[in-house]
Amino acid sequence: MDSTFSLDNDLARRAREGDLSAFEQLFNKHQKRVYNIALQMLGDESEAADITQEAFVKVYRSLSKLNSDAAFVTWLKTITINLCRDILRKRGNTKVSSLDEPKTADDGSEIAFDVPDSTNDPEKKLQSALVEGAVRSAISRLAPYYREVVVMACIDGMSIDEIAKVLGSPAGTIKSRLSRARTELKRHLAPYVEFEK
Amino acid sequence: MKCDKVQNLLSEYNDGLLDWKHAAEVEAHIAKCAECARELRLLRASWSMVVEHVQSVEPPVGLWNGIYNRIISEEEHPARAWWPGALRSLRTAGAMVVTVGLVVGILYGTVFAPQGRIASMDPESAEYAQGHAIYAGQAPLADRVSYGSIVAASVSEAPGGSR
Repeated sequence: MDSTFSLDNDLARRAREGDLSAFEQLFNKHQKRVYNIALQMLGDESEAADITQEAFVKVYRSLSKLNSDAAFVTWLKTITINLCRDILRKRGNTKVSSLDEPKTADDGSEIAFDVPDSTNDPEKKLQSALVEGAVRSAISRLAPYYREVVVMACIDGMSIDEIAKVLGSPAGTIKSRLSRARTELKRHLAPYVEFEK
Repeated sequence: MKCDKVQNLLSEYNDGLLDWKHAAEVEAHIAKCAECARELRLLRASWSMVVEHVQSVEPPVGLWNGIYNRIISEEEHPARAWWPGALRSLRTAGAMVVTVGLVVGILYGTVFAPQGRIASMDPESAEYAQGHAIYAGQAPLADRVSYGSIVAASVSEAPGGSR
């Protein structure tokens, strides 16, 4: 049992006993990963923020159900993914908007997605923004059951076994979904791969 | 193995999911086919691109406040959990009572009551009521059921009626 597991579960135990500061520590530690999973799954910042809050409230309400042998973070991710799936089901699996699609301001003007500035070279900056936009768009075009494995493998660096645990599917199914998702991503990203060379 | 079949298996080959026989066939094909070797390179490069460029975004500030407020509010008002449901049930029951009351009232006012009122009229008034109900019941938007019941009730009261 690793130290993160012990620390998380210790904080969860304290939170269950009513220590809200322990729960706040759990929130601070995991909010970014929950938010980013939801953001890539749903492609919408506002929905991702709502899902983050909903996931933590749901976790807090059900702390008594957390098995002492189960990892807190696996449980948190399962709740997050299930909440995202609910939203996607409600949307009727319609296309998820890409994060790089321009947003509309109150005055009706378009706001481009804000790409973090990682370099001072304008040409490189442009190229990097282009590729980042293409990657986000490629992920958003994946079917939800491919997207969730890509998001967990990529953003979170989770292993196949961890993803299988979170999604409650056999590891073989996850491997096969990831393989098919890679083929899909290649189809969308091939022009950019060649462009980057 | 032909190129299209190899290209369908490339991702599984790359992930080590193929059995040794198919993996060996794909490997032998790639060694002599530049197009399939390029597809494998694209597959690997596009995955690297995803891993490299999917950026972790900072969540908006203030998320904790929303969570904290919801938790505190639920802890301060634990009894709230049951009464919205009970209130909903009461509302439904109230709506049903009002609906039944309206239906009974309309039926009483249009079908049953006129008979009682007409029964207490003198024959001339009953005849007048009958004539008026026949005339008014012909209007395009008239409530024919109500006027019909008035006519039926007044027939027995009017002079020359059955009573």
